[in-house]
Amino acid sequence: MSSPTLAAEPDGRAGAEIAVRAGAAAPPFEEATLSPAQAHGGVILMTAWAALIRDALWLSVRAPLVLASVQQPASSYVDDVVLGNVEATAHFRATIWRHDTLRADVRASLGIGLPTAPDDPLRIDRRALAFGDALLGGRAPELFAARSIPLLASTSVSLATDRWSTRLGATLAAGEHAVPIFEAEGGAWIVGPVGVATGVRVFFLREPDVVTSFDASVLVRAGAHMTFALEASVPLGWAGAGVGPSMRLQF
Amino acid sequence: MSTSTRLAVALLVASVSCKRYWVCDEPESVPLPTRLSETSLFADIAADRVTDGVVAYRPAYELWSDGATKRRWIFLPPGTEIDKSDPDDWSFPRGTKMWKEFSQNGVRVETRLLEKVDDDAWAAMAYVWSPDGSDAIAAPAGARDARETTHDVPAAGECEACHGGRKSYVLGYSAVQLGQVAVPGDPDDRDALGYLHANCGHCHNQTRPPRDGARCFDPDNPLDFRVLANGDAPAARTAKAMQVVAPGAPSQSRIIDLVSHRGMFKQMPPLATNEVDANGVRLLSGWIQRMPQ
Repeated sequence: MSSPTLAAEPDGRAGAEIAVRAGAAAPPFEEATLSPAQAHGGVILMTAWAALIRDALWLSVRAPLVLASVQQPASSYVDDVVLGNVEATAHFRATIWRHDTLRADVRASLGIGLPTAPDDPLRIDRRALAFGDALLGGRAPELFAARSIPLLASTSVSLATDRWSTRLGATLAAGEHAVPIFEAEGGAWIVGPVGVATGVRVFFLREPDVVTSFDASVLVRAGAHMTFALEASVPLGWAGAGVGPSMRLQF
Repeated sequence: MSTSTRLAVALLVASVSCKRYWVCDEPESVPLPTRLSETSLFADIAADRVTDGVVAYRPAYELWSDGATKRRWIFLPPGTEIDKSDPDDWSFPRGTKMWKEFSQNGVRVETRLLEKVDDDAWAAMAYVWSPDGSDAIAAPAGARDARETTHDVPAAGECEACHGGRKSYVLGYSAVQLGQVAVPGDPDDRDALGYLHANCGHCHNQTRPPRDGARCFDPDNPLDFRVLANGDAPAARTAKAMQVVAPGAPSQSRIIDLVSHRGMFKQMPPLATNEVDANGVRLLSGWIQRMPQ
């Protein structure tokens, strides 16, 4: 049985997760004359995975869809729907220590994607993408980078039982630029099928240099295979926040 | 209210409402040059000498642009003339070009171009000046705080927000704006009505052309702030009907409340301005103060 977690890390034989975040944000935008990319709307992050080697190696595919109303320089808005990059990732997990139900796992992931995120002369698509990345708290910047092949290298170590888990991770996400990300999170099933998870993420952008993002999630487990969650991300470094439900189905 | 809170409330408003008249359609590709020097405005850009046939003009009533100073020019293709059969909405010949240059605090920031590219289609572009003043470069995405001023350059799609509210598409070159119409009232009233015409009438008028898709501006109300070529100015009666003015009581008038503020939730005009026009507020307040109850 899975421990509460913020990340859509693959587990079991196969699974899928759809996470929706809605909110408003004004994240920094690399084109200085347009900064920031103020918008409101939502982002849908779709992930599916299957085990290649049970409990050891998975292959996942994920893609974000952004629906945003993007502010333009004279304060009007333009609606935009844009697909981010589609990414395939191989995930490796090994248990390095176990005592009763307590176990320590190490994970490693390598991902590469298709540069499906578009660009346009008015920079509306790119601002919508930056907004989508912001709503997710900077979780996967490579998915929102236009005109570039997304690359991902990640490693983490976790200590968990079936009731709780903690995890420390480091990621290098590369789109137009390489973004180092460091994460720490913890979660627990607190009352029967109800759990909570929370985490902090620090990532390094070109401008501003360092952004801290806080995540929180309230989870409800429905049977053995499905988990509903209400998630929120609040970054320090720009105005705005994202909140929304996610549904995870795992076999 | 913090920026985060305002953004969150904006999301709520956007999700449950509303008259989304501030949402613009993304424009189609814009067939305009990438440099201002290629638009035939200047014969000698370094000497600031315009091309023969390009005529400078100044409207009687100016749009408030946060204190920016402006220069304007018009070019009509040789042998053509403006169709003035509708005196309130002149029809310009294909090939007409109009430029408006914005300077703020002595810095020449941008020059906008409107060009009539078809019988019923205009193309628009803003050009941001290079620091050395040698040329201006097209900025289809617009720019915030351009050239290190507080002036924002609109994106190409935003031109439609104001210009699309009038059949003529042209706002500052008309019978009223060229002084060919007697604006009713005493001089103070004329200034106020002219101010409303120039700053509000392109959206708040009853002859807005219909459009498909999202509209930048389409206030669904009977306000009409134009001065018409027949000398009529329906501003007072439509404003009274909509109860946006309280005759004799400017401080209780919604229109004064709106034009006296800037921000996400209370602002008029809603676009292209970040600073209150104190002179405009004074003009309108006086107009309402003198308005018979």
